[in-house]
Amino acid sequence: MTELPPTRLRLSGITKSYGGIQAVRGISLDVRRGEILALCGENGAGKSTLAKILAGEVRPDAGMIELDGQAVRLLDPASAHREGIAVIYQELNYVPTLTVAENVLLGRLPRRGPMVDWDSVYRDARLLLAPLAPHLDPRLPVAALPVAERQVVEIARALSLDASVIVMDEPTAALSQQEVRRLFDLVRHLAKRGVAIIYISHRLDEVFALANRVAVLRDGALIGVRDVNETSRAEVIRAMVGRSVEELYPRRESTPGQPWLEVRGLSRGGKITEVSFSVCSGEVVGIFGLIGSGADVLVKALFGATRADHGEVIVGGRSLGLPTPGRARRAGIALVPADRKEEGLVLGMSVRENLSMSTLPNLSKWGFIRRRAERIRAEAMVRELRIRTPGLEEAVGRLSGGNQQKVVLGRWLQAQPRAFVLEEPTRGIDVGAKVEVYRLIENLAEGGAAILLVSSELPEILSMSDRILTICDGHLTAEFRRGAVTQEEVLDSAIGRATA
Amino acid sequence: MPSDEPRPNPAALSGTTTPTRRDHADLTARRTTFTLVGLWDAGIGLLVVYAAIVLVFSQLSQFFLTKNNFLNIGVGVSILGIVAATQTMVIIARGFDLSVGSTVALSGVVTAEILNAGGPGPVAVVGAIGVGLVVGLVNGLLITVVRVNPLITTLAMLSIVRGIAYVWTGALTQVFPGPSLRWLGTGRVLSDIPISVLIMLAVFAVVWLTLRYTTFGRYLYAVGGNPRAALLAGIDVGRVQLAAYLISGLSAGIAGAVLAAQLSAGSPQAATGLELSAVAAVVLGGASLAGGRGRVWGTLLGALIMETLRNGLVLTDVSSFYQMIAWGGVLLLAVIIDQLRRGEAT
Repeated sequence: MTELPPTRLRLSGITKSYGGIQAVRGISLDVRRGEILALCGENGAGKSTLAKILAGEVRPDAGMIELDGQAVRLLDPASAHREGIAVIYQELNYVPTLTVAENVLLGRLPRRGPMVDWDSVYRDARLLLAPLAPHLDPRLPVAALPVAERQVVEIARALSLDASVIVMDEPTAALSQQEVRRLFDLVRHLAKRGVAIIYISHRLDEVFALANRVAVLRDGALIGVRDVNETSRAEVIRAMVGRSVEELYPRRESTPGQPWLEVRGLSRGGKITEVSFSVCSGEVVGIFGLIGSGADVLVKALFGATRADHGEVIVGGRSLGLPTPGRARRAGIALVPADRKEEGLVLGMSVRENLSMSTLPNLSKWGFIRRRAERIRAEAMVRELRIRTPGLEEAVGRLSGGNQQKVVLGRWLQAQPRAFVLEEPTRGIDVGAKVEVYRLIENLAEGGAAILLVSSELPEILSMSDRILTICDGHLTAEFRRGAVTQEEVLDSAIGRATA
Repeated sequence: MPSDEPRPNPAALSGTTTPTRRDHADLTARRTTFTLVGLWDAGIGLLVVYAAIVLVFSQLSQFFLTKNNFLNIGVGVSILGIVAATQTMVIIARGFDLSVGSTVALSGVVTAEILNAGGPGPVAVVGAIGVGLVVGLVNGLLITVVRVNPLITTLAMLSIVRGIAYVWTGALTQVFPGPSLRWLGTGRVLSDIPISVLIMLAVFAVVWLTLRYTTFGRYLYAVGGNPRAALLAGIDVGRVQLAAYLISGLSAGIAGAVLAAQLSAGSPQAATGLELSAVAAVVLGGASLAGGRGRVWGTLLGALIMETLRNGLVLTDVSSFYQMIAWGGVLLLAVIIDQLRRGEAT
């Protein structure tokens, strides 16, 4: 056995509580120079809190952080930077109106005298971006970039800090496969240069492809650390959820009824063109499209949140014409949007208020809310969906991602709609919560609901849908039945390549 | 390699185990944080500020702490209070209504014109309210349908409505015979309490009930907190905002009739700058200019603080120029507190 490289970062007994909940309990962990350590765990397992502690954003209640054997105190992000720790967050931090180069070098723009030296700015930015996205123009405003490329900007900024410890919190959540590959090359390259990397991810494919060791957190505690060669996906999942996941995707015999949710000729300014399809009650129809395919526009137009130019939405045989969100809700359509923080929840309002948001007319008399009924319904939903919250009055913004998603789902379950439009319902949530969402979808379909599942995760689409539609450039390009199609065929139609 | 075998944990958060105690306990407990900003949010700060103002002026002037003076303060705050109460709703819904001062003036002018044309008092009041509703409707439609920024829309309407009042009257104050609206202007109930104070308190009570207990009130908070999420929850965001501007216009109409009755005249230059006092009272009362939060009794205290400060400065013979400085200081204080609170929220 060759001698192991020295430990770069050592955490001992790190503990942090928020209110009554212990987010991180006594975690001790080592990362060596040149090592990629994957950190896995469910929502609320404490991964993001740990990342924030390393970023100097959150101070631990107890425990010690050592760098090369020296105890350090990370009081704020600036001190973390000085110690050579860079954290790349899941939620991006950038100034949309500034250019790529300005964002990459934000706060450290090279100067000549009192003036910004713009030549150096663009040269430095180009150098930092080269290994990730060589064709990205550093003069473009970040707002003009697709989400995936904004992520690249974020990563380049961390690189510019010349960090010796890099923490990446779900860096691939918004990246295409090609970009993921480039990111991996870069991460490996950094590791070879001796950087210690903590890679936080739910995606076990990535963990096994990239990491040397994998550490699993559950309920804020460290469950175990294993060498990736000495463990298996099944073992990691079991450690993460505390049970064995026999089957990620539940299977059921589907018996679709009559067409319930129908869309006819829906079009909007070149983003979607003459889209027509129907979803029967008891049926799950999956729509797969890449970023920019128009799937997101379709969802918003169907619900009336984006005005379509023409077309028609029909629910249970009754036409809504071009719906408004209010009419769509009253007609029994539920929408779970992809971006729960921006589109799903009012973060400053309580769990109770967010849960009742779509059912207030049913919970009120002459315009006055029946508060007792509201509370009872909310309590029932918290129990039923196992939403982890200190209380009904907790601001929903303080819950973890998976629990926030459950609040959005719970809101619509209370409305008892007959049609669900689920846009990326499992984005950014972990294996355990995913299984719960899938079970819920199955139960709803069995109960006769018509379900439209819009997702960019192929395995999810392939396993959950009775029928699969692909969308490309705003047109529906193909329709497949479950089981009678491969990933490649779906992908081909989604990128507009004709299949035989 | 240390052997960190994943341990089976019976208390794990799994689908088969019973929910942990956390899931059940304290479901209705409200978390309180005892910070300065927290105290301010709870309204304590405002009460302390108000008590301090009262204490200081009662030392400086023997006329300050008298029943009559406080009734004067009540009458003085009533116009501001009426429009500030509904401004609270607009600001909670992430809007702004800068047109209320002008609307008060125009509806006062209309009140006077109707009375001078021989119309009965109630008709004049209805006319004033009609003016307010029309302005509110125009504001609301421009903001929700044409989607013009609320600040710009209502700033433009501030100018337009004031201009109409001047053009209509030839910039002359329209005096009307005293008796026709005396009950509204100087009427007192229980021998003491001015009608205008009662009207203001009634408006506050209605707004408080609406914000706290009705679906519309909840929608105002949701729309202000995150308009996009409210829309995607199936809330008719446009209709909620439109209603807020209509209500703001309505209350400006009421305020205009009350003010005209107090003055026995409709003046095109009445209530200049009232909109800024109203916004200041709302922010002072703890509402966030970013929308989504605010309490109407905070606004009442905010308006009272401003009027009491003015009253006290007049009684202690402070020049009106210093009053302007004091007013600006109060407004800055309110905005700084808003900023501190937002800092804490993130």
